[in-house]
Amino acid sequence: MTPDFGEFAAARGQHLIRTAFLLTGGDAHLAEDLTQEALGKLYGKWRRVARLDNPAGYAHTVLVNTFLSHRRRRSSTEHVTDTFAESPATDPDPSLRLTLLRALGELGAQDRAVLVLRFWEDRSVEETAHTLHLSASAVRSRSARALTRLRAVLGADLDDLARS
Amino acid sequence: MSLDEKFADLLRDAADLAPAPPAADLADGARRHHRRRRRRQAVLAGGAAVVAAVVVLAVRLPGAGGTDAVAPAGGWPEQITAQFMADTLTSVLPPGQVSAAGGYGVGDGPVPGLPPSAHLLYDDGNGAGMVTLSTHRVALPVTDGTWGTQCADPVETPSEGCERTVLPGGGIVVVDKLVPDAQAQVRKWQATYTGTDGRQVSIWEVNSTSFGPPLTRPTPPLTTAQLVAAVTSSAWDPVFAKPAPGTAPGATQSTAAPAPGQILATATTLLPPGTRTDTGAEQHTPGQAHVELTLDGRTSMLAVHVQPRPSDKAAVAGEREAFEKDTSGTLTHTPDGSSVLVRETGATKTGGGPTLRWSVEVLHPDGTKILTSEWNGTSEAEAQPGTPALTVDQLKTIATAPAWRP
Repeated sequence: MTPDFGEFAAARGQHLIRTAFLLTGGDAHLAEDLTQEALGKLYGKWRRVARLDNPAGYAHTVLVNTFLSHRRRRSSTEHVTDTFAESPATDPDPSLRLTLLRALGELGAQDRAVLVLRFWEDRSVEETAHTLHLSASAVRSRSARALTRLRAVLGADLDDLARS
Repeated sequence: MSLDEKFADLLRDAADLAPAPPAADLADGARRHHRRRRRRQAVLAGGAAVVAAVVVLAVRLPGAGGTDAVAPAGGWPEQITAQFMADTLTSVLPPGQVSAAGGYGVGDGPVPGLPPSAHLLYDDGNGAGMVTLSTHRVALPVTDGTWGTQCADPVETPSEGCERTVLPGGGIVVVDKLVPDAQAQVRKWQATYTGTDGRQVSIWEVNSTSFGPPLTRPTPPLTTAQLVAAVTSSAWDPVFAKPAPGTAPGATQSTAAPAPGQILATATTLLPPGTRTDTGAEQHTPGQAHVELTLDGRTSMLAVHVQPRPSDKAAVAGEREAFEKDTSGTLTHTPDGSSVLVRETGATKTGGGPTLRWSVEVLHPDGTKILTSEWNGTSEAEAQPGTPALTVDQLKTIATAPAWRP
């Protein structure tokens, strides 16, 4: 039986938004919009998508491509929101995480996509390379360069982030 | 905890700040998006009396221009400390007030294994700005296709001005002043020096003490000349004291991405007889090229992206495995062992609307990847429906040609 689109969106939607939130460097509004656009693309061909081995993985690929396509369509108008979801009461300082998001937002769109696919989506180098139309060596190189950049930008905050 | 695990943890923490709309809202929003898209495509189809087909031969490569061939790891002298990095960055700046200086040496920090870096706040008397420096090694030889040696594609990264200078010794400096984002108005100026020995020193500076508000000054504190002096300084020599590993005898090198001129020269020979071409202004991004085509009265833009074959067999096998699992298009194989993915995107897959972009992606037997794509209009965002200049079979002929293999 074909899974229901509404159920799929309910089950996977929040994870997609979180992915989009990282891809956009913390732009909550854009993250929701990109997620809805990506889900809209899936909805249009849902019967075919639902028969795939891994509809959730496909959804994330569509989301990443939607993000990169958005970047090509528009000039750099992204911004990090200063409003975000309720933080756990035990969280000492969400501003540190906001700092990480801002730093992510300063990386190139494709570098961000590499980091998010590799470290958030836990995809292999080869899978990431294929999704982004890069070579495997390019993915490795971009990961190292982007991480070095993040570390330089975050400075001492990175230690705090790692400990929080 | 490994580097991967630590960074994944950081991302998970940051992702917790994402909005959490009710699940039903997402599904409803997706359906609305889908309906809007169909309406937009219907309008496009109705207005397609005039077909300005633009065929674009495109192979996707790094947006900032260049191949990502990276030198093997392990080339960092262990004596490079955080203190050395912070002190050296301070020493290469003009006189001024420096605060919050810090850095990461070789093997330092919660994310070990990365090249050294440094960061500080610098005030020339008109307000402090954040200045950060990172180092990197690129594979030799440095070519026009090496990452960081070209101005970024302004379509991907809008700029208020970019200067590229080849120094007398052959090193290349690129200084790019990026368009600030509309909200925070933080200006980021960045300079990257690539030496002929494969060293790369990059500085980012902003007119704020972070990447967010408040602004501390109208522009970042270092001028172009000061940025160039800082990234090209010989004070960084100790960081690159070990010989570049990529130069070791027998070391394998990834094939460099071809220049746009090379791509166009090859592509032109593969076009159907009678095709007229207009390549427009000079193109600079390695690995990709575009050309306007006119054939049988139809004018289109063709983009070609060329991704050179990976340097090792395992990478080729990984590419092939991922390619064969791709479900976004129709996969076929040629008798000579190439895998061919045909995609038509736009409206057709979602029922009723017209196709706006045609593409053929080919993984050649040796791992070379070619993407040819075509649409009607000057840019992908303004693509119009209608019959393009080249058929999908003609795109396929171009992309599968053995002429692309080195």
